[in-house]
Amino acid sequence: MSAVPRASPTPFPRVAFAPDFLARLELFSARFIAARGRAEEFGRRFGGVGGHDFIGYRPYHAFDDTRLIDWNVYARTDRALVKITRREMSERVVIELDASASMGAGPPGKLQCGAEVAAAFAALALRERASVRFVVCGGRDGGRTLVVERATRLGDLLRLLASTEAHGVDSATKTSLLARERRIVISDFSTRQPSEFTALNRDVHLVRILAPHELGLGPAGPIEWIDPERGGRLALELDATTRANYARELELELEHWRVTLTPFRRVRHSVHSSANAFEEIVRRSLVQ
Amino acid sequence: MIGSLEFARPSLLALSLVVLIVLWFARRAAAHPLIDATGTLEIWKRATSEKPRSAPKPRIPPAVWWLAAALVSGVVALAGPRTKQTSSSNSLLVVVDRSPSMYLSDGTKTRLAHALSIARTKITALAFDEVTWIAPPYADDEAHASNTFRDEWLEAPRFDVAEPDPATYDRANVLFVTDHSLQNRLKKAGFCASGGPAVSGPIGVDGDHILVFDGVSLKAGALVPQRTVHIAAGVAERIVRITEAWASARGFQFEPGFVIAPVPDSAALTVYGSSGPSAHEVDVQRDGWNARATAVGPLPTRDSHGSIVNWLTSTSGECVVASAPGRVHIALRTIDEPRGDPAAWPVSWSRLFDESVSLPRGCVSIAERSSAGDPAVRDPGRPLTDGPESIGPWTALAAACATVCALVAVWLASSTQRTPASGDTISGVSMSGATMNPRQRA
Repeated sequence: MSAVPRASPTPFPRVAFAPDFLARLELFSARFIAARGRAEEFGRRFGGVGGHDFIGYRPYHAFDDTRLIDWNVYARTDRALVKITRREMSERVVIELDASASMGAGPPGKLQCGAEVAAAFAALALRERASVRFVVCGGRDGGRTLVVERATRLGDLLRLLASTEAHGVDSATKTSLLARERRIVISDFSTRQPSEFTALNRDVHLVRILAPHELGLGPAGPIEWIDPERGGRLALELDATTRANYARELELELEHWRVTLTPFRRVRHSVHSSANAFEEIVRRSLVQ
Repeated sequence: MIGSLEFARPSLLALSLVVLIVLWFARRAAAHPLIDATGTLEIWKRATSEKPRSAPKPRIPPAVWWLAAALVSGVVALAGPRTKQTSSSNSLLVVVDRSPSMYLSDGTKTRLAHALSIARTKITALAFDEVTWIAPPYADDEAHASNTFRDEWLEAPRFDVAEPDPATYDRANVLFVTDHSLQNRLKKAGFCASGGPAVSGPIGVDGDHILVFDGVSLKAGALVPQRTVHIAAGVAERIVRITEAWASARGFQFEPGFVIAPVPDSAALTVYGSSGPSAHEVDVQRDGWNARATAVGPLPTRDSHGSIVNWLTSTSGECVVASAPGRVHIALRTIDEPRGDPAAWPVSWSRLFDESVSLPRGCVSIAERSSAGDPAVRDPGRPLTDGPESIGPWTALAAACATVCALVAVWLASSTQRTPASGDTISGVSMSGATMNPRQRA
């Protein structure tokens, strides 16, 4: 039986943001920080409060943390003012986005989903006044790095992401991590092992993005799977039995990651469908 | 039943080739598997390592079969299935009006003769393969309609009959032979109307004299000849007596015990008995009286002169007395002393006899004698073979089948886009919204 390719090996290699994505991103980050429980959780993780030198005051805005209000000034002047501080030590968040060929699978495209999630993490970190070092692992142009220290540079980050194309193999980018850096890795971890993340004594978020058909959801019928990174092929009849076997094997694979990472409390691993909205993925990743 | 089907547009059945093309493409698509990228190839390999590796067998999805069934049904519906006509579709039914006005003459010949002449010319011009004739209500059986006009219809029926109901025969391939235009009463059937001026003559009875309409006014004519009331043997004695009393009051000669066939011109009313299979008790009531009786009914709905109208029904629903102009049929052998108002019994029966008595021979109501207008002709409509009016039950059935099959196909196709069910959930994985179908882009 001859197989006629009807799909590219990486059918969704590119990233394209909707016109309203930036506004959606800002709304999400503002609401997320403003939510009381989530603000505490996120602030604790990213050092959102405390540890800064006082510079001056500015008026309180709706989405500011109320703990930032200087109540003494309020009592004296009847004005809600927020302290402006300068970071004593740079809070840094390293966000790594896997742009290997396997991230071009879908629909919806995993790279598209991963880029949106990465941008959302960056927006949250910037709103907490942390600086972001963004690393694109793999991809058509190889590893690229962008440091984003102000929210106004989110546009630069989106342009970087929009120019990213899934290509090549997944490889861990060697990045030097400082003591207070948090690491967020967004990938399908198709060729990675959990042990790569246990050696680091850092806060690490592993956000695994899988396409729906990689979660066992898909139509019945003959199909030929291609590994876009290593070129492997597998023709099979996708029926209920095969799907059940796949679900079991996927469960074992994920369980292996969980068991390996459980002793390392600073490493968190979550799995998401690329069909999910980035807001939900980020929210689930952080409150897990 | 299926074997008696034919198609209005059989050439459209060639569209069935579309189904073959669809199946051919589906088979071709099934023979070539979809190729898709995945980052979990190793997991797929482990999942299929326990199964013997064999090439997936090409299989046309069930949704395609349902789609093919929908297409076939749709093609059949478009082809216009219908039951074969028992008679030739090129057959003309001629309905002859034998109401009293048809036998009025303008001095040369009757309106019926005029209309018949027009109709024969028209029938010849229409060139139907088959022409059948009926003359309701005497001969209204279309299944055994005459192939020719019966000469006996040229004679006025013994008892007056109404003109055929246009609505009953208003369909294609039907031609009315009548005297006045039916342009506004017929939609599909045609007609040949003789027309004709108003005709003077006797219209009824006023006391001892015939009442004559001279075209302008009514005048007393000749003396009414002695008329008779005949009553058959076997009718309940009590009814015979009331009939005799009524006949005496109206000046008719009463002739009990026998009925002359055919009914003579002198007969004003003929009361027929019934010879049913077995006598049985019935309770009857009407107009304020009621009684117990012995009946041999039920009576039929028509006699040899046409339809008869039910007048008295037993409490069990059995027709025991029916009437028509010039005749009354009674299926009561005996009847007990009526209960109720003593006057109700004779008044009730007298009213029946008064309404049933026929006019003297030759008398035609003034309405029938009025002008029938000008001659008029309209061709009968032809059976439609195209357009929405030709949609029959078989077409509707085929269209419904096509709709159902198409809906099932859509449902099957959409159901293959699996949503996360309990069995699909990978623990700890957020899969909400993970319903995309990787085949969608193919």
